[in-house]
Order: sequence, then structure tokens, then C-alpha cells
Amino acid sequence: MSTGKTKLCALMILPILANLFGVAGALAQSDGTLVLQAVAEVEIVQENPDGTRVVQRIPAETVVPGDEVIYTLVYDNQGADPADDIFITNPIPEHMEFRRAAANPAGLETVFSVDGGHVFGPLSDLTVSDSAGQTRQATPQDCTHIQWQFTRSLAPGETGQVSYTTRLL
Amino acid sequence: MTLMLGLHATVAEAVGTPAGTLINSQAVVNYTQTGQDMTTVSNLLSLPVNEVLDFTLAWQDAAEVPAYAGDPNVALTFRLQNTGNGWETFLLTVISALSGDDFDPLAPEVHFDTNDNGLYDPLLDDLYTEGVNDPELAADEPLTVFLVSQVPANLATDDRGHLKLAAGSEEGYGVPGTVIHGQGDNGTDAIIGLGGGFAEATGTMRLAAVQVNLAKTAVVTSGNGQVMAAGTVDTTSIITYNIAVSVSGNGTARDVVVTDPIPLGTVYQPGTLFLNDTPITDAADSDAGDVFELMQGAVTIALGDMTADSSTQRISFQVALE
Repeated sequence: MSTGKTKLCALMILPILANLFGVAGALAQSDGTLVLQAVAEVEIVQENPDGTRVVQRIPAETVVPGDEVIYTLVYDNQGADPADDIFITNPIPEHMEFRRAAANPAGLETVFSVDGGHVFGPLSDLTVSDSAGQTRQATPQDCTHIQWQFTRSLAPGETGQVSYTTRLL
Repeated sequence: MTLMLGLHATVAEAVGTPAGTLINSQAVVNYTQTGQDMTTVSNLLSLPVNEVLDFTLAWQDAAEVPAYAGDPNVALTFRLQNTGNGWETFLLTVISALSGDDFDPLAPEVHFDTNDNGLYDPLLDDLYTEGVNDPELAADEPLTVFLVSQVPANLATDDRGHLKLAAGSEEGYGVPGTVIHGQGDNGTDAIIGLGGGFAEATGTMRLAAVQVNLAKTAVVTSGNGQVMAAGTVDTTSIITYNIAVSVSGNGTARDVVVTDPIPLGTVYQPGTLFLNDTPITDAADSDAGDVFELMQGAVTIALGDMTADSSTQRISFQVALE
């Protein structure tokens, strides 16, 4: 694993995100071959006649306060060349609070931002200031962004997914 | 104080994301391919927030509300609060025929705390009429409601009367989780919350024991008999004190005796003691009162047994400034 590469990625994201939100969609056309598909799901519990319970995931169509929504990002290298230095960034949706991330595929690490996407790192390394100016350890509720950093290449034709759960405030 | 702060924290958490809000999410992937920096965004996910119908209703009085037989105006205080995430209109119903009490309060009415002071003001707090002024509350908004009723006559001390307030959501009620299509704010669906779109609370009034009420007023006149402006006196002033004695509550106040010391710096004017406009001699004799005899420096009037049905007894006497 390369610490140097991670830092480089974190620096690069600043101008890129700024562009992305400034001209929404303009950068969606990419000559690259990595495709990212987002899915939102909720879990429902179904009780069988014999009393056993089955948890089932269904696509989320609407939400109400308190609902947990599971966001899954499916990445797929559809081209003939490998993709390197990959990082996937997802701002935590407004009105949602981050709850937890699913286990990652091998070769991926999850980092977070609590300052609107400026600094990323393991949650345990991040701090926030309260209104009185006191600094404290960041909690999942403080997260503004989640990011997956790849420590390996993604080969042509290779696909995988990452996932995290939020709760509507 | 601590309790209040805790309450506010709970209220703050009850505020949910407003119905009709769109929850948007879009991810971005950055990478390099054949030496070039690449960026791809995902599809945009957009989830509308539906409206949850939820509210709470509670009886607010700290204890059973004291009342007396024949009381024309007893107010029980309730608090209705919209704990959902959208506007809600409520239908209110009062039920007085309840089990577990001794009497049914009469002619119950619902009044809103229109001037928002937490106290029932008969002249200010609007009467509720179903279908006419059904209360409409924003997300998390509270409303204080009074159930105002009359107490029947001929009740005993400690008799209790219950009144129940029931509140329903105009958008619907039923099994929690039921979806009411298109009934939420901003065209969203409404979903019945854990309360089932319905709530009720019961309050209690209790017949208080007998209580004697004294109301004393003073009128100041100058030597020429003119009433003087409030707060002014001069060396010729005469002060006429009026004491109104009445009884409320249930039962009989035995042998009511009123004593009123003559204020320091004033001199009782002989022959000015009256009970209900009838002169009472200053001596301790067969009439109801005396001055300075049964109690030194004071006017004493014996009124005998009194009940809430007794007419108000009016005592008056005059003093001059020393």
C-alpha cells in the first residue's frame, strides 16, 4: 500500500470536485471506460407464516424521517485498459446522516471527510469543533463525504461494488 | 430548569426532514487510464420525502383541577403537538360520559389558547367548532387547548369528573404504516405514524372543600366628600373600607368571623360600621359586630355559617388620617 499515492489523490480531488459541482453534468462525459452505477435500497422485514423473518432489500422509491437507506455503487471497467489511482467519492446526501459502511472488496480502503470534502482520512483521525470552540473526536454523524480509495488497479472487465448506509433525519 | 432543557432537546429531535424534500445523491469516480486523469459521475438518485402523520396529546394540569358544585367555568388544559414532518389539520372531540368518575362535567367546550399565555381567558380564547376552525399545525408546532365545562350542583367534596379530548388527523387514521396516496404536503404520500393518526387524553377535576374568600377595597374621599384620585390623600381624607365575604367550594364554613385591624396612622370613625348597608353598633352587644371590644384595635364581624349558596356579605367602615 502506498501512503504517498493516497495523499496525492486527496490533493487532486479539490479542483475536480469544484468543477463537478460548478458545471453539473458537464464532466459526466468522460473518455474513460470506468462506469459507476448508484443504487438506493431499503430493507424490509417479512414474516413468514411459520414465524421466521426474512430481511429483503428493495429499491428505495420514497423515504420518511428515520428510514435507513443503503446506497450501493457498482463500478465496472468496461474498457480494454486498466484503471489506476481510483477513488470513488460520495457526498452524504443532505438531510441524511451516515450510519455505517459495508465491508470492502480486497484492495479498497474507506476514508471520510467531516469538513465538506476538503480533508479525508480514517474517521478516528478526524476531529470537529463544536460551537464553543472545543475540539472533539468526529463521529459517523459528522461525516459529509465517504470515499473509497483503491490500492490496486482495476483490470479490464473487472467489476465490484461498495456500499454504505444512511438514515434520514 | 434541567427538565425544561431536556424537553427542548427531545422536541428538537422530533423535527424531521420536511415532507416533499428531495434527497439527492450522486457519486463520482476519479482515476487514471493510459496516463490520463479521468472523472466519471454516477447516475443521480433522487428520493422524495413522504409525510409522516404523527402527533401527541397530553393533559397538562399538574394535579386534579379544583372545582366547586355549580362552578360555571372549569378549564382543563391539554397540549396537542404535531410530531410529524408536515402540516397537519386536526379534528377534536370531547367526551364527558366516562367511567371511573363521580359526575359528568356539563356543556363541555374546546377553546384554543388564542393569546398563548397557558391560562384560560374566557373573553380571549376562541371557541372551537368542528369543520369551522379545525387547528392546523406546522411540523413540530404545539397548541394548548382548554376543555371548559360546568360542574353540576349537589356534589360532595372530592367528587371527581373526567373529560376526555380526542384528536384525529384530518388526512386519515388507521394502522401505522398505512399509505394515504397524495395526502401529504407538496403532493407526497402521507404515511400514518406510530400513533395511528389518533390520540386521546383524559383530564380530571375534583370538588374542592369549602373556601372563604375575602375581597377588600378602599375609597378615599376628601373632607368635602369628593372622591380623590387613586393614591392621593390629604389631612381631611376619609377612607371607606369595603370587605366582600363569599364562600366557594363544597360544604359549609362554620361560624365565619372576620376581623380587620384598623391601619396604623388612621383613626376609626365611630358609628361607621355597616353589614350589608345595615348599621352595626360599635359596642359588643347582640348585633353581629363591634369595634375594639372583642379584639383590640380591630373591627370584628360574625357572619355565622356560610356556603357557596350564601349571598356575598358586605362589611364597610371608615377611618380618618391621624
